[in-house]
Amino acid sequence: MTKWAYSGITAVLAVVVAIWAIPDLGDKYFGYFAPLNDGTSPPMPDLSPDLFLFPVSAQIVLLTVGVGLLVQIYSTAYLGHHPRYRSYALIIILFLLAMIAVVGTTNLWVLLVGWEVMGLCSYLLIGHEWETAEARAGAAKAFLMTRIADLGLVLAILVIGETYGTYDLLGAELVASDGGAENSTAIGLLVLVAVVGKSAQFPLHSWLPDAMPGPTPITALIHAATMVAAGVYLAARMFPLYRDSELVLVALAVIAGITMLIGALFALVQADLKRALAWSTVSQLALMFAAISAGDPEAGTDHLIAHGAFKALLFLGCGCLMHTVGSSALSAMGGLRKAMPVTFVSMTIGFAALAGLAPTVGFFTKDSVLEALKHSADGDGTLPASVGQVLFYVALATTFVTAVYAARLWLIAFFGEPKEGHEAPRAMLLPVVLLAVATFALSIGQPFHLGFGLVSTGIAVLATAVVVYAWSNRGELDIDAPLLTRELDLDTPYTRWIPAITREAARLVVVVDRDGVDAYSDGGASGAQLTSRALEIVQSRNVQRYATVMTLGVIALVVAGVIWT
Amino acid sequence: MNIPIDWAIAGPATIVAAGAVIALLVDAFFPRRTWLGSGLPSTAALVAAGVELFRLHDDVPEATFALSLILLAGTLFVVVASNVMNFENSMPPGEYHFLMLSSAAGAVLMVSARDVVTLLVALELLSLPSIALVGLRQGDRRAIRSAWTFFLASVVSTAITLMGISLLYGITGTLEYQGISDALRESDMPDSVVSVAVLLTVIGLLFKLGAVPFHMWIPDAYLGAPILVAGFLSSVSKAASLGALLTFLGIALGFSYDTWGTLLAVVAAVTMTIGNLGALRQTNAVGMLAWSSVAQAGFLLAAVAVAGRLGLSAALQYLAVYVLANLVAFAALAVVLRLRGSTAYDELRGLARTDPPTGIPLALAALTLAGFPPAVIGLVTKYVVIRPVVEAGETWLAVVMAVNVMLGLAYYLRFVAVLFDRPEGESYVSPSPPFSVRIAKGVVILGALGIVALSAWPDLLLRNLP
Amino acid sequence: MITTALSIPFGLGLLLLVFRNTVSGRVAALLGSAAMAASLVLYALVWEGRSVRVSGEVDTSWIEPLGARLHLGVTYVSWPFLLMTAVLGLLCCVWLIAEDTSPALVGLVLIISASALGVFSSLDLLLFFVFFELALIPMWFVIAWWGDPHDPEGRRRAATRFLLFTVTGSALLLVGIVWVASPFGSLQILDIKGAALGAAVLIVLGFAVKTPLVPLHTWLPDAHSKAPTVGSVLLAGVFLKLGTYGLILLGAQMLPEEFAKIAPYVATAGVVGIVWSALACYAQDDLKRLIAYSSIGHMGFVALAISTMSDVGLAAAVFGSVAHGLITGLLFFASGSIKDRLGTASMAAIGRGLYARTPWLAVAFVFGAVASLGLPGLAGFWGELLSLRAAYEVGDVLSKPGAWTLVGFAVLGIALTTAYFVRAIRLIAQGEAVPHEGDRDLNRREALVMSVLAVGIVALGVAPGPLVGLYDGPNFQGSYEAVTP
Repeated sequence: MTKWAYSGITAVLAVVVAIWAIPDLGDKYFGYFAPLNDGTSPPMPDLSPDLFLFPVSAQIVLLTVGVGLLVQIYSTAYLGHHPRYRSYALIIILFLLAMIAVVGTTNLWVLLVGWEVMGLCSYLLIGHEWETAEARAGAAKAFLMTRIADLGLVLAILVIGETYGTYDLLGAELVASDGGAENSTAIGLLVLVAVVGKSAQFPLHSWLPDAMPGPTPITALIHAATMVAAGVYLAARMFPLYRDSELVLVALAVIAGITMLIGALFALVQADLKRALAWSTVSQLALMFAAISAGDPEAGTDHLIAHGAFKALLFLGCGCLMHTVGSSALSAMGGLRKAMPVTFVSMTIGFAALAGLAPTVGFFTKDSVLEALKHSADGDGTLPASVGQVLFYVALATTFVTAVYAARLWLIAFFGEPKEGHEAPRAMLLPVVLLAVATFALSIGQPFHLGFGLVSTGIAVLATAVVVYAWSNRGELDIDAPLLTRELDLDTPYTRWIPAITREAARLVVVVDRDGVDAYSDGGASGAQLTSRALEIVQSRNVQRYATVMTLGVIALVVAGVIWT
Repeated sequence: MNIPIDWAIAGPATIVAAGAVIALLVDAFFPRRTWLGSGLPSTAALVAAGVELFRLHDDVPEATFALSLILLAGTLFVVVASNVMNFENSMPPGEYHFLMLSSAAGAVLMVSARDVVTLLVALELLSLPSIALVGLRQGDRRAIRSAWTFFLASVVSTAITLMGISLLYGITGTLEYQGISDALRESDMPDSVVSVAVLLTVIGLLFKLGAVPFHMWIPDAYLGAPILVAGFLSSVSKAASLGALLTFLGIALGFSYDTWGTLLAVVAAVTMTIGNLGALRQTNAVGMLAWSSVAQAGFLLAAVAVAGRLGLSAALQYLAVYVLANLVAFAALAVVLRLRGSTAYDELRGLARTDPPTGIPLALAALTLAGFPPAVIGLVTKYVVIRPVVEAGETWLAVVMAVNVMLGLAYYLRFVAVLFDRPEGESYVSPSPPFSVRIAKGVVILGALGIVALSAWPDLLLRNLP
Repeated sequence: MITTALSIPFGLGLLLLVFRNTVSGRVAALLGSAAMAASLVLYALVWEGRSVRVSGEVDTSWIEPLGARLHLGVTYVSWPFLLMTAVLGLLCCVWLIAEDTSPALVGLVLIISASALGVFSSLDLLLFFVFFELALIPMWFVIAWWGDPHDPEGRRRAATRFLLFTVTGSALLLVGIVWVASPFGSLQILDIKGAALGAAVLIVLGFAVKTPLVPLHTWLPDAHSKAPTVGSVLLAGVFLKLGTYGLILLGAQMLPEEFAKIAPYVATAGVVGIVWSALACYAQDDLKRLIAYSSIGHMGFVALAISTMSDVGLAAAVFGSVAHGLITGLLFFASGSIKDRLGTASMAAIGRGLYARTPWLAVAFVFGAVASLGLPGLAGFWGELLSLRAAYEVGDVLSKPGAWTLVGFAVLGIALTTAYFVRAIRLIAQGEAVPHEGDRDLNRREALVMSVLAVGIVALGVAPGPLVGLYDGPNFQGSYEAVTP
C-alpha cells in the first residue's frame, strides 16, 4: 500500500496549495513590497521564494495540483506494479513543485529554476520506460529542444535585470506598465524563444508528439497542467513587458497561426490516438498564443485552464482505453462504447469540449479567444489589422479541423463493430469522471459571446456532420494524405540535419584536436627527440669532427663579433 | 714585460699546490696504497688553504673569495668522496691526489689571476692534470681515448686563446686586466678588431666551461673518466673557468661591451638548448649529467652575459648551488658504481627504495638541477638567474631559459622516476658496505642535507654570497 | 592558524611516504581524512569577514635579498577556493579508506592538497610559485603509478605530458613573475600594481596552460582519463583552479591595466573552448575523457568571466570554479567507480542500462551530469549565468559587439553541453540492461563521498547568496518601495 503514500503526499500538497491559492482567486487590491533598484546594476541573483499569486496564477496552480493529484491516483492503478514506481511518483511531486515555483513567485530566478526543473522532470518521466529506444529518443528530444529554448528565458531574465534593475517580475512589470517599458523587442523575442520551446510551437513543436512513449498519466500531466501550460502562462504573465513591440506580437501571431493549423491537420491524419491528442494539444496551445498576441492574455489563460481539464480527461481516458486494448493505435480500438460505458461518456464530453460544443467549458473559452481575435482583425487589438484578419480566419479554419478530428477520433474509438473489453480499475475511472465533471463545472461563470457561440457551434456541428456522414457512407475514416502523415517533413532538420552536422563537427573537432592543435606539442617533442638523436650521431668520438665543429664555431663567433660591432 | 704576482693573494693556490706535492711524496714514501691514507694530506692541504683564504678575507675581492671558497670546498668534497674508489687497483691513489690538487691549484689561481699570462698558466695548470686524471685508469682503452680527445680539444682551444691574447697585447700593449681596460678605453682601434681579440681570448674559457660548440669533449671525457673526476670536471673546473671569465670580462673589459654581452647571450641560449636536447635520450646517469652540465653552463653563461649590467651575484649564487648539487649527484653515482658496477638507468631502478641514503640524495640533486620543488633552492636560483636577464631587457633569453627549464625537467624527472620506480627482479640488499664507501655515503648525505638546509632557508645562501 | 592548517597535511603526507610500509592503507587514509578535516576546519575558522582585507595573516621574513617573504593569508577571493580544496582533499582521503589503498598514495594526495592550499594562501609571488610547482611531481607519480591499470605505457605518457605542459607554462610564469617583481622590488602580491605588458602576457600564458585555455588544453584529456579516481578529482577539482585563481589574482587584480589589454583574447579563447570542448565531448567514447573535455568548457566560462574584470565577473569566476570543483569531482568519483568495477571507462564497453544494473551509481552520475549541464537550482548554473551576465554587461574591458558575440557562442556551448550529456546518459544509464559481472552498486564509502558532494551542489545551487554576496559591488543600493497596483 506504500504506493498510496505518494498520492497522500500529493494530496497534502494539493490541500496546502488550495488553502494558499483560493483566497487569491478573485481580483483584489494588494500591498506588495517589490525591491526596486535605482542603480544601474541589478543585485546578485538569489533564490528567495517571494511567493505571490496573481488571480490567474491561483487558477493555474489549483489546476496543477488538482490534475497532479488525479494523475497520482490514476497512476497507482496504471503503473502501480512497476518496479520503479517510487522514483516515478516522487518525480511527479517534484514536477508539481516546479510548476508551483514557476507560477507562484515573482522572483524570476525561482521561476527559472522551476521552469528548467520541469524540463528535467519531463525528461525523466518521458524516459521512464528507458528500456525502449522510442522512450529514450523521445525523452532526449524533449529535453534538448526545451532546454535550448530555455536559454532564451535565461537571457530574457538577464535583459530584464539589466533593463529594470531588478529580478522581480512584479517590480519590472510595474515599471513597464507605468510607461517605462524598454527593450521590449529583445525581451519579447527571448521570451518567445522560451515559450515556443516549452509549449511546443512551430518550429520547435515536434518534441511533444515524440514524447508519447512516456507513460500516459505523464502525458496528461505534461499536456494539461505543467510543462506546456507554463509556456502559455509565461507568455501571458510577461505580456506587459513586450506589448509595446509589434515585431514580437506579429512573430507570436505568425507562429501561433502556423502552429494551430498544422497541429490540427496533423491530428487529423494520425493513426494513433495518443499522438493525435498530442498534436491537438499543440494546436490548442497555439490558439492560446494567438489570443495573447491579439492583446487578450486573459482569454489565453482561460482557455489554458479549460484545455487543462478536458485534455487531462482525454489523455487519462485514452489511458483507460490502452489499459483495455493494450495499445494506443486507433486500429486496435473501435466499438468500445458498450464495453466501457463510463470511459465512453467521459471521453465524449472531452471530445465535445475539444470541438467546442456547448455547454462544455471548451465552448466558452474558445469563443473568448475567437472574440479576441476578431477584435484584432478589426484593428482594435494589439496586432496590425491585416495580421489580425489572417489569424482570425486561420483560427476559424482550425476550429473546423479540430471538430473534424475530434469527431473522427471519437467515432473510430468507440463505434463500429462492438469489441470485448472491460472498464479500467476504479482508481483510473475516478479521475476521469471527476475531470468530466470539471469540464462542465468550469463553464460556470465563463463569459458568453452569443454571436461567436452561434458561429463556432455552427462550424463544429457542420464538421461533425461531415465526419458522421463520411463514416456512415465509407465505414472508415482513414485519410490518405502522405505529406500530412509525414508531418510535412518539418522534423527532418531535428532528426537528420542538426544531429548530422553536430556529429560531423564533433568528429572534425576531435581530429583537429589530435592532429592540429596537438601538432605544436607533438611536433616540439619529436623535434626535440630528433635533434637529440642527431646530437648523438655527431657525438661520434671522432676528434677530427670535433675539431671541425670547434673551428666552425670559432669562425662563426668571430664573424658574428665583427659584424655586430 | 713585468708581471706582478701578489703572492699573498696566491696563498691558497700555493698551499694547494704544495699539498699536491706532499700527497705525491707521502705516497712515494709510504706506499700503503690506501685511499684514506693518501687522501689525508690532500684533505689537510685543502683545509689549510681554506683557512688561509679566510685569513685573507679582507684582502681579496669578495667575488674572488667566494669563488675560491666554492673551488676549495668542491675539491674537498671530491677528495673525501674519492675514498669510494678504494678498491680500484688500476688507479694509483697518490698520483690521483697529486693531479687532483694540481688541477685545483690551477683552478684557484685562475680566479685570482689579474693578468692574462697568469690566466693562461692557470688554465694549463687546470687542464693538463685533469687530462691526465681522465686517462688515469690504467689499461682502460676508453679512458685513454677520452683523455686523448680531451687533450686535442684542449690544445686547440688553448691555441686559439693564445692568439686572442697576443692580439689583445698587440692592441693594448699590456697584459694586466686593469691595463687592458685602461688602454681599451683610450684606444682608437676599430671595435671589430677588439671584439675578435676578446672573443678569441674567451674561447679557451668557454671550452673549459663546455659552451656550445666547444662542448663535444664533455660527454666523452665524463663517460671515460673515473666518475669522481667527471664530477670534478663538471663542478670545480667549470666553476674556475666561469670565475675566470667573470673576472676577465669584468676587469679587463669593464663590462663595457654590448657586443660580447649579446654574443654570449646567444651562445648561452644555444648551449642550454643543445645540452638539454643532448641529455634527453641518455640512459646512463653519467651521460645524462654530462649533457646536463652543458645545459647548466648555458644558464651560467646567461648570467655572465648580463653581468655587465647587473653584477656577478646571480652567476655566483647559481654556480654555488649547481656545484653542490652536481657533486652530490656524482658522489652518489660513484657509490652506485662501486656497489653495482654500472650507472645505467636499468641498474638505478628503484634505488631510492632499496638504498635511500644514496637514492634520495641523488633524486634531490636532480631536482635541484631541474630547479623544482621540493628542492626549493634549485627553484630559487633559477629565479635568481632569470632575474638579471629580465632586468637587462633580454626577455627573449629569459623565454629560452623558461623553455629549457621544461626541457631539463623532461629528463631529470625521468631520472627521478627511475630512482623511485619499483625495482625489477630481486631487490638488491646492500651488504654491509666497507668503511670507505660509508665515508662517501656520509659525504653524499651531508651534501643532501646541505641542499635541504638551503631549501628551507634560501637566505643562508643568498645573503652570504656577494 | 594557516601555518598549522598547511603543516598538518604536509607533515602527515611526508610521514606517510616515509612509513609507507608500516601503516595499512586504511589507517593511512583515516589519518589523512582527519588531517584534511582539521585543515578544513582551520580554514573555515580563519575567516574574519569580508571587511578584513587579509584574514589570518602570517608574514615573516624568508629570502630577504629577493624581497620574498613567508606571507600567507586568506582573502575574499581565496577563501572559497581554499574551502573547496580542503573539502575535495578530505573526500579524496575518505575515498581511499579501503584495504587495497597504498599509504604512499594517501601521502601524495595530502601533499598535493596541501600544496594547492598553499597556493591559495600565498600572498608572496615566489611562495605562490613554489607551492604551484610543489604539487606537480607528486601528481606525476599519482598518475604514472596509480593511473589506469590497463595501460601502464599510456598513463606514464599522459603523466609526463601533463607535467611538461604545466612546467612550460609555469616556467613562463616564472619569467613573468621575475619581470613583474624586479622593477617593483617587492614580491608581495597585494602591493604590486602594474607591470610591463610582456610580463602580463607571460603570466597569463602560464596560467592559461593550467586552466586550460584552448589551444593549450591538449594535455588535459589524457591526464584526466589516465589518472586514478582521486587523481582525476584533484586534477579537475583543484589543479585547474590554480589556473583560474592565478588569472584572477595575478592577472585581473594585480595587473589590471595590462590584463585589460589581454582580456579580449582570454575571453575569446575561453568561449572558443566552450564550443570546442562541447563538440569534442559529443564524439567521445571514454567517459573520463568526456568529463575532462567538459572541464575545458566550464573553465571557458570562468575565463570569460575573469576577462570582464567586473565584480559580477569575479563572482562568476569564483562561483564557477568552486561549483566546477564539486560537480566534476562528483562526476569523476562516479566514473571512477564505474571504471573500478568494469575495468573500463569506454561507454561502449560499459554497456547500457546502468539504471537497472547499479541504480544509485547511475543516479549519482546523472545527477552530476545534470548539474554539469547547468540546471538552474544546482551549483553549475550560477557560475555560467553570472558569467553570461558579466559578459552581457560588457564591463570596462571588452567591447560590446565582441562581448555579445561571445555571449552568443557561450549559449551555443550550453546547448551543446546538454546534448552530449544527454547522449552519455542515453548510452550508459538508460537502455536494456546488459549485466556485467562487475556490476555492484555503491558501497557506503562511495555513497558517503558522493552524497556529500551532491549536498554541496544542491546547497550552492539553492542558496548562491552567501558565496556570491562576497563579491557584491559596493555601489549597489537597493531601495524598497510599497506598490499597490
